[in-house]
Amino acid sequence: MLSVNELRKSYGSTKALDGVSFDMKPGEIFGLLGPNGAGKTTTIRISLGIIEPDSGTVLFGGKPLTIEMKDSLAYLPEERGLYRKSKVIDVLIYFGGLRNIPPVEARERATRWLKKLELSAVSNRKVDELSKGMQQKVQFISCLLHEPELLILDEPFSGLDPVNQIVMKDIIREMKSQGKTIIFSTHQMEQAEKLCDRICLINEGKVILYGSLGEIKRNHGDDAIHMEFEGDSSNLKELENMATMEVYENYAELRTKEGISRQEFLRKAISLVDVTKFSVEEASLNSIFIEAVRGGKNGGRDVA
Amino acid sequence: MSLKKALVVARWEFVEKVKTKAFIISLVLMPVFIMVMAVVPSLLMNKPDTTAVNIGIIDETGKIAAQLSESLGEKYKLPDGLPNYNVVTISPVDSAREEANRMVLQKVISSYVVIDTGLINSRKFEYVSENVSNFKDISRLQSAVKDILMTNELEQRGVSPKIVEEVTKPVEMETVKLSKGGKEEKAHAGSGFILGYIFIIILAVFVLTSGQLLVRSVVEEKSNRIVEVLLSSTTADEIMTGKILGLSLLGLTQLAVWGLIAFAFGGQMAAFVTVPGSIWWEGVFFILGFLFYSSIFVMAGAPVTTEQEAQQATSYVSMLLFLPIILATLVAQNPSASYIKILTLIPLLTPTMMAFRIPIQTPDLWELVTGSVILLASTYFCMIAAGRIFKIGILVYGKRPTLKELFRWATRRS
Repeated sequence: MLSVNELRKSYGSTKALDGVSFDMKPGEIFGLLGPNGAGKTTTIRISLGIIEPDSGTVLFGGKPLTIEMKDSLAYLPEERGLYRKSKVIDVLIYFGGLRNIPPVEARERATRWLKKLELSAVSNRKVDELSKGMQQKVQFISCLLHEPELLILDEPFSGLDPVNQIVMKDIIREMKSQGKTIIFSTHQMEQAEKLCDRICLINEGKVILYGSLGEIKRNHGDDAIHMEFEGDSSNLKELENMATMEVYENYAELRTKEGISRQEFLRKAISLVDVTKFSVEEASLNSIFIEAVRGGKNGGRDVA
Repeated sequence: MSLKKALVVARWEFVEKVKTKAFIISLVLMPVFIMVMAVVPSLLMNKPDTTAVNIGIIDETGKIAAQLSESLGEKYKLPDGLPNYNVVTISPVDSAREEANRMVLQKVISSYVVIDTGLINSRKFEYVSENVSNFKDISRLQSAVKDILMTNELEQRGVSPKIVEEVTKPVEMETVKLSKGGKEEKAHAGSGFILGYIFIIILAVFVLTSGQLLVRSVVEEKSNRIVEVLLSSTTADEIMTGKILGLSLLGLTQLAVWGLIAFAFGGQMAAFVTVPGSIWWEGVFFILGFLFYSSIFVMAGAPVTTEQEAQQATSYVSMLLFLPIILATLVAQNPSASYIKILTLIPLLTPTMMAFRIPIQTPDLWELVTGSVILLASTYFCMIAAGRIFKIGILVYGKRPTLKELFRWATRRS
């Protein structure tokens, strides 16, 4: 579907992208992850032909992007905006027109989508008069009117309330079931964990993790112990030689040190506090992310 | 480049702007404003006084005061038939001036003149008033005194008063404009000048309206990042072409409406202004000029991020447009002076200089051709440069690029 090879881009002396490569398969939800400023948006902009890379290539189905192909792409930028003084329906028809959808057809599709997202009532209002969440849904609609094959969504959930997040997620899943390919760019790992088939984690312009979610979870980050307890949390200090721990008032997340079994740790812990829950869980993408980013930074410093 | 998408952009720009209150208001207000500016001062200037004006005179000759009073009284009447001017004689004693000054300050008289015995030789007299910008009174007094002197002189040399009256009658001059084809046409003095002015103003308003809207729409699209969505579905060239098309159509709409208003109200205006046969050259420079200035607006506007910066950028461009107005009197006096010809061939000035010069005295054919060829070539290169600057500029935020950077963008091939 989309394959990105060795992209490099510098702004002055800062390297925004330093050899980013990944391949997307048709019909998957692909997570482009990374902290703020990692190079996600630059990668997306280059992929869409908005800016030129210093070097590297972007291929769609093995071919470079042409103007005709742009009509089957959709892009929802991170920083949202619509024409504030124009009517919702007019803006949607315009965006449809830019993707070669005739006005009548665009109006029909827009009306259908507005109805689906419970926005029919605002169709003739000015964008200005809509709440932020509504504007975001309208913008999302503007990406869907031309029934794109590839959707690029940059932080689609930021600023949405939980109810609308679910609405959006359902639509993204629906798109996937229709065989569309979706790039989902975010720094919120919980979201990515729930939606993505495969991910590419970039930091400081470099790919640091790449592959299917399951694979990455298996290869990175050991299973963690989640423990809930009652009693004086400071008593747990005694256990510091047995495990690396993050201790909160009534909760701790930890990994036992080498040669220490979980049972051994639990026996000791019971003698110090009243353990109410003790479970072994898969590391979250979030902790893998933090680990990987920190590791990357430390690595960088070592080289320097 | 797909013209189809450019047209989608053009349609959007036109329809959305034409609906705005600001546009509709300017459509109606601007002609009203121009009419008020053009008509009211001249109406006021020529408006007759309704009450008599008292003018003092300190007359050392003892003769002129009476003649002045008679002359002014005969010539200038108030609408109700009473004399427009009352001449108040102030005896020419030592303290006469102090007395006269006091009278002026107390508004007993509006002004006074001092005629000394040496007037005939020095041909000089003084006019004293709080307001020395009252052109009407000043010129009337001046010509009255001049006539009196002449009459006195002639009579002294034995010429009969009847002959004096005849030879001092005013002379009328009819102005006839000779066009390049050798055709003679009666024309009001200065009509070419006025027509030239009108053309400059139309061009300037047209360019500024569309130019400012262009810059503003770029700034809006940048500030809410719509520009990224646009660029992901079309190309920078298409966006730019669409914007220029749409907004020039908007400018044309505006001109058409104003033209209709002028047509409806300004029958006399049309009679006053004679349109020269070379008018279609005016059209050539108008269109080229519009495209040329539009490309400059694009270059100035694309890298801008805030509304404030946009205003600054447009004000620089507007100054260029009005430069020929500063030179207007020089051009009117001698439209074919060589330095005027040289200035006309500078592309930045060509459209307005030509717009101004053609109605006054149509330039030679070689000048028209050279001017339009240079302008056409500059427009072509500026459009290409503008396209390149636009492509980079619309994605630049924050720090405004230096002229050097702009130049680098403009010359870099993608």
